[in-house]
Amino acid sequence: MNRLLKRSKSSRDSLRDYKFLREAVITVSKTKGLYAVLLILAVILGAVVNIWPSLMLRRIVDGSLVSGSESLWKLAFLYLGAVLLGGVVDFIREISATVYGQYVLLNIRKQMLDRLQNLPMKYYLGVPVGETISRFTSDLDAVNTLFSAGLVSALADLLKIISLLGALFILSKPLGLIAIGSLPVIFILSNFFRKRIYTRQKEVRKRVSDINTGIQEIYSGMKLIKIFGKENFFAERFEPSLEKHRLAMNANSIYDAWFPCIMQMVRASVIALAIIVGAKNNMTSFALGLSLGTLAAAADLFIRLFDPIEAVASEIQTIQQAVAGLDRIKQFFHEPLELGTQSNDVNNIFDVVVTGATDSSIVVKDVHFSYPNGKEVICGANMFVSAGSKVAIAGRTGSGKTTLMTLIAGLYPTKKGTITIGGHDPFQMPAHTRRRFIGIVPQTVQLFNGTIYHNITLRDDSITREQVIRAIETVGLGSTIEKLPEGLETLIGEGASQLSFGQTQLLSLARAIVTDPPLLLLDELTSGLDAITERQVLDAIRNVSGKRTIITISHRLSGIIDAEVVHIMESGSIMESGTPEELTSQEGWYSIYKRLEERGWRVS
Amino acid sequence: MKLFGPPKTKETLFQYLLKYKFQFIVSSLTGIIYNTAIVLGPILLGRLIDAAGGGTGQQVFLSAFFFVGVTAFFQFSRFIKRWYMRDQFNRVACDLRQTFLERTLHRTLPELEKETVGDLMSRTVGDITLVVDTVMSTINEGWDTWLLMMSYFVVLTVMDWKITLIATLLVPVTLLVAHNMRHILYNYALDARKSASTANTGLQRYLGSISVLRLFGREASEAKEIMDAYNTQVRFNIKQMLLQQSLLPIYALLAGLGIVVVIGLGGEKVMVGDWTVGTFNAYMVMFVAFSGRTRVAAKVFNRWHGARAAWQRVKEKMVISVDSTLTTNEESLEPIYTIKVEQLTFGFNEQPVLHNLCFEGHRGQIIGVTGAVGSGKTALVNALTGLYPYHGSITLNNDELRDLPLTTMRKRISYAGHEQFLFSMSIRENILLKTIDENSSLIDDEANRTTAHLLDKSLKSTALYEDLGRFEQGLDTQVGEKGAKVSGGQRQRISMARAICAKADIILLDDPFSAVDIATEKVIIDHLKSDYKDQIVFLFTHRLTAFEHINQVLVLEHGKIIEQGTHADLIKQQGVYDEIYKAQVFMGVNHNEQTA
Repeated sequence: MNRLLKRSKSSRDSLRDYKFLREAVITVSKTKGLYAVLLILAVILGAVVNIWPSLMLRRIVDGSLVSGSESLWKLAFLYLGAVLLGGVVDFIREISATVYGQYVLLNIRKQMLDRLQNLPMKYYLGVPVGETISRFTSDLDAVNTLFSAGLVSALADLLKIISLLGALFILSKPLGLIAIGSLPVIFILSNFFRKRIYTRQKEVRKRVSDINTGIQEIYSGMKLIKIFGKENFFAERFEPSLEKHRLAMNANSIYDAWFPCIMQMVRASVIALAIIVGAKNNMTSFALGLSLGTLAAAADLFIRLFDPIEAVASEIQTIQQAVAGLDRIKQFFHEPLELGTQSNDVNNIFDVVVTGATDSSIVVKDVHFSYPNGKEVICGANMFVSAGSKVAIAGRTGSGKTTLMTLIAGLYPTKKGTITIGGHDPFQMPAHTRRRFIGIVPQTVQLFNGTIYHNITLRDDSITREQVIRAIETVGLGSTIEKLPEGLETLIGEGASQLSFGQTQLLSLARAIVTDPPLLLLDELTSGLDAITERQVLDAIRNVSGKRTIITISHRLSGIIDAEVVHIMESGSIMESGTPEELTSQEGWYSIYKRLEERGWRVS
Repeated sequence: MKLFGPPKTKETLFQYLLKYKFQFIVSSLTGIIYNTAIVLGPILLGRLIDAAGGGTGQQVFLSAFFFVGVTAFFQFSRFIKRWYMRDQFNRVACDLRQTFLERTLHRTLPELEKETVGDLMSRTVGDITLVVDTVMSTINEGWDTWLLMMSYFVVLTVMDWKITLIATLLVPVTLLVAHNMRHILYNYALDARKSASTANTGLQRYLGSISVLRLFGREASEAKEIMDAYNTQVRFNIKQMLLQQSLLPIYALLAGLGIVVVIGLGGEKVMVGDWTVGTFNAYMVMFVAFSGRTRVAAKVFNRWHGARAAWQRVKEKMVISVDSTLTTNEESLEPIYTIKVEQLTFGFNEQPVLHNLCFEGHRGQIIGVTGAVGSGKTALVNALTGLYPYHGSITLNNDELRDLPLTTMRKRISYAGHEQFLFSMSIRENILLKTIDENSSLIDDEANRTTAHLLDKSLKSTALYEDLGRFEQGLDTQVGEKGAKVSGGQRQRISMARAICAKADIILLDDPFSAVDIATEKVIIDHLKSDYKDQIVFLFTHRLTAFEHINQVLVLEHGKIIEQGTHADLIKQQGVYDEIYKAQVFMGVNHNEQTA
């Protein structure tokens, strides 16, 4: 009893695992259900129509050529009709399979895209971009293959085999038995070759990968090779991997070369056997004495029988390989989602905060944080920023400045300790409120392919044109954009006009302030800029300041502008805090950094 | 023994193929046999049916025997053709790859640095594969499609030219339809691929800028853009499919009309007695096979353009370069006592980074070079390797570096770069850059002992013995791709061991201590001082604690030497060196306190 319960539970589990597939099929069937019905009808009809030409052939030979009882040309046109009908049915089958399959895929894609928005940052840090893209491309393609080239084709071929066997039985029972007898032989042989070829191909792929790695290593280490004069050493070292690859290809080629030849020989033997058995005289007592028409039709049916049998073997292999892709998509749907976002009461709190009194004071209390790969990046940071103040955080690369800023911006939850902005946890902030509260200029500006306007609004239609114009005027891009032929509608990004590095920084700033947030976070705004552009940016920031709370991050002290308080970060915590004057007089980190910087030395 | 290489005569693609004359001839012969003898299949089947219909048992068995036997014969030819073709082209691909690699290895370093690894990879792997695959499939199609169709056509015409003429009237129509459809289908396929590409680029952008999107709360709208692209892609896919599959009934009609003619006219011949049923059957089978092939026939030459372009890309990089004419004189050379640099001006792309540098180094000295980012340290390292052109003079014992033959230069100068590059070999092989063959220990004992001694010395000097103790296989431990299996500090020290083990007179160490702690750094420098008195060592770093006990220090700024002297001298000067040194000591002390 228990075992039964266990089994039913695990099958329920596995069904639950594929919920995304069920949902897709159900949703699509509601709108495109007609195609599913057409598909099934076409598959069944196709199997039946497949045998008509052969049976027609019998009629032609027996009915017309031998006995002359039926009109030859009438039969010829009936034959044509059968062939034509077959073409039409194939057409309907392919179209319905495609339409239905494509829409199911589309639905799964939508589910996956929706899920992306709820995955925690942990997922994006841990999983390489290429892997996620594989889910959407090659793994989903595998699912498509599973459906069309796998399941649908296998079903169609199975039905074809059944109808062909049926036809052979109609013609003559012993022939039918020979056909049934040949099924396992052909299937097993076909399977044997395919399996061997598949394993050999895996080996070949491995060797190809070895060659690629070897070549890449040589090209990457070229300087060393040239300096040490080891060209011949590396050239000789490469030959064995080429040879191994060649041998692996040969091991595969043997089976690949024999496969169709053996199968054709077997086919010929089976047909010969059938005809011998069906002959009038064959020196045994097993001669069936079938009519010429029956013999011709039988030969035709046998020829048609072999293709679907071999195809089923290949379709089973296709299904096996495609299930792997389906499996990976299933795992994608099992990734743990972000906890604690989108809760309703939090919505209200932040709305009140934004529209009402905007307290943007920040408290960082004993915060610890590490990225998924383990090392602790923030080790007990403490900081207070009063509303409306201008604060700078400086420190060496790797001290944790950017991480601290992203924590303040609410991108990750802290491991230990708390961060509050106006008393509330920024991580809990709902998506649509963020921009109205926090403006952020990250270290690397992400430009999107689109107009300058869209790059500033990020496609948020609730931002008015006036707001955008005000933003670009404030940062000082107004005249530059006016001079462009299409102004704000100029396309930028891949394959379009490019902005200079400085202009990109200003655009990034405009993007941050367009919603007039009370808190601004600026990361390395002036690094890499020439003196003139730096002045422009500094002016822009002064224009923007007003009553906002501004936190600037820089690894260069010269990038800190008008800061009332400076915090020095080192190894994940705040080392020194104070006004620039206070810190200069101390013989601490601040003054050391200042001196090194003046000499042009890298502080790290 | 060299396995692969270019053809001995001119280096055209054809000559590469002809290098394997045997395979070429055998596969061509069997290809012809298969695609001509194949017509016997349907003919003998027809005879078998006739015999079964009214012949004696003996006739039946004989016909069956011939049918199966002849089929076995030409299928066997087919196997031989397939096997030898694959064998030949596999070998050709190996020849091309090995030759390409060798030629590339022997180009000069400045030339090579203009190339990207990605581009070289795609030529060595992708382009060569494309060329070989396309040539093979073209030759294959030549036999399997064109010769096959010709064979069938000839037999059909011989059997009855009237029927053949009428029935094959529609074949050119099929060819025309197939050909014209291809353009339209191609455009739809392009559109589908374009929207797929748009969706993928959108997805990549989404994933790449996820933190920005999340920070600004813009994920939903970006996702919608991607979804729109997917919707478009589905529409194009369906349109393409619709068009492609609508051809099915059209082809069926065209083929069917031909069969109507065959049945009608051929059937009449049977009724009149010209043909047996078997002959009629044979004709039908061959006609269907022939007309079926027409759809495939035109596809053959499509890939040719792509392959030609690929062959160009391969050929243009397979040039024989100056570097490869190396002489290998094993004459013992005089040790280098002095390296003198005078008025050295050096840079990349005509932009000088170093300006009129002058300094001198002597055997047994360790010379430190330091400077801010962009001061010219890396440029000086590159200049001293001798592999790049320079203005001014660099002399080794009064011989100008640029005039020295390449072999000599390689024996004199060794290098450890700041990239700490390791190859995926054992630690021992990475240091010696030699394959260790156990059997070779019997030959050339003297050389082996010297090598072992040098290796031992380098391991001691780079403090690697303790690390080796922790590795299960010691020196034979495989370090993995790019040395991933060992730590950053170990990679750096193995890299250094490689440089000092090479028995060169001048050792260039570029930032060799960045992943090494100060204590180990001191140990290594002490060893360099005591055990490498026959060499001149250049130490490039910006960590000044390393310079406390070396012979001289050069401080670079904007490509010029601004301070020069021993550590003690420079501290006394209270210039740049002194200030940076003191700042580094402060940060180092405080850092250690923090992490304690």
